[in-house]
Amino acid sequence: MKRVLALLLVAGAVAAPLASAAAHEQSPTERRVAALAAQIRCPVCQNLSVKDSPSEVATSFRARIRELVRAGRSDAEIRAFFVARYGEWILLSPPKRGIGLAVWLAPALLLGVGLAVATISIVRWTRRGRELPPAPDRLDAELEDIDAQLAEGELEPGDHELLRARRLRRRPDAPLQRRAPRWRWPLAGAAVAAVVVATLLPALRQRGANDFSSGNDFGASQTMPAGIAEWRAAEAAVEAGRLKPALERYRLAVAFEPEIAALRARYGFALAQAGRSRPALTQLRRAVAADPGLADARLYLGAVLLKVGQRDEGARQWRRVLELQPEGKAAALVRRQLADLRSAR
Amino acid sequence: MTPFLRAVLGATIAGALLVALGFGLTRDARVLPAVSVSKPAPAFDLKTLDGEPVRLAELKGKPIIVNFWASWCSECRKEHPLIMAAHDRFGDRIAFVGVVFQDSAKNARGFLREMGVTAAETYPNLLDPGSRTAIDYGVYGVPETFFIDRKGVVVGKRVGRVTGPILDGEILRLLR
Repeated sequence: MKRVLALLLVAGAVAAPLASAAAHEQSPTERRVAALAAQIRCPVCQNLSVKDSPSEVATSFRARIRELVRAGRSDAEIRAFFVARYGEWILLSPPKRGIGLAVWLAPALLLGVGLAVATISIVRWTRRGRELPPAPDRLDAELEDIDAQLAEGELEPGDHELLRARRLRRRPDAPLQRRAPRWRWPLAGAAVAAVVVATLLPALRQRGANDFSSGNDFGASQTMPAGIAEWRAAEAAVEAGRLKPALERYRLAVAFEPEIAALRARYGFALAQAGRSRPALTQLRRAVAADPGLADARLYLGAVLLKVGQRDEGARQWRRVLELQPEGKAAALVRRQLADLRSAR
Repeated sequence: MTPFLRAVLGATIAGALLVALGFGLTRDARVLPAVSVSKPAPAFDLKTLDGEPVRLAELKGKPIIVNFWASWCSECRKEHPLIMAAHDRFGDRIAFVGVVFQDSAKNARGFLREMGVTAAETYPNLLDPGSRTAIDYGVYGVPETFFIDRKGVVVGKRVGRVTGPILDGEILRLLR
């Protein structure tokens, strides 16, 4: 009785996991999820499907597949769902069309070509084998045999000579030589070089084009910094007399390059030209604070201050301009204006 | 078959193999196709770390920068100050959204603390249960940043850490 019980226990222990595994596999949903998961690449792994990967991302993928299966989507629809998000790369097997078809056909094609080449070669070798001259030792044996026939009087001397000559003619000491044309190797070399160059050039050029989507290029791009590009565009707009777009560009440029005093000075000047004195003063004061030696910023600041009636401070800024640039372009004008201010008082 | 024909055939086969090899070997295998670019940004309806709902549709009208990150990702740690600085400068014209990738809310909060802010002080950082939004965006790994224009179309995508010039360039493109 005890033995029967023990047997039952053992049987139960063996059967339980088997039964649960069977139940797991029997669910058609899970079977489809597993089959689809095996076809989809785990994006954070190296050449692993989301079925085989233990990563959390793969778990999320499987959950999404299960959800789509339960929603009644077909296998093709589910594959298309992931292809739409990640591209065909997400499928572990290439599609059986376009360039992907070549990958599927190439092995069969190569196998066929290989078999054909092997068959032709074997046929040719066997045919040549039949025509091969006798091996030297066999030749010697045959010659001895002929000599022996002469010695025994079975052959006339004339026939003996004839036979000997015939046998010797088949000796492989003078194989037919055919020189390869001289241009063959240079031609092949040139063809290979041309192919290498033709392949590498576009591939190298493509690198730059791919940089946009590549995530792994951490090198800075060679292009002009965004803020400086905006600044230049702003100056061009000012030149063209389009103040409003210029202000927008200055504002962007300042956001990118908040440290450049000269940029702020130009922005402030443009604001003042647009009649927006208050924001102009803010920008110009910040420009002067960032670079107290920047004469242009003080020149603009003084002009705006005088315009809004802050004469003392305006005059102070302009006197600083004269200290900084006594010989500058604006110096004469500033001196005249300061003299006018003094006489007006 | 004449020797000339044989040489031509040999060169053709060798050439074809070289083309295939050259094509395969000169390409960076880590460069992945960016399928999401120039398509409408996939919609999302997620909750911030503080439980506030945020939907993509509500953000439309402004350009949007969506940055996927995780506390366990060291490149994100280097990148995050840049994105936060960009938010300080352009937050009034561009909507910034962080999406926490394969990470817990607790760890995400810890990461933000490390960056010197609380979840409420910075732009919304959203939890993505089951990585649904990450899969919809075709995220390969973090950090990954999507640049969405005013019409809601993805105009740029960066896999890996963005640098200052890259970020500035993308922002300029969004604002133009």
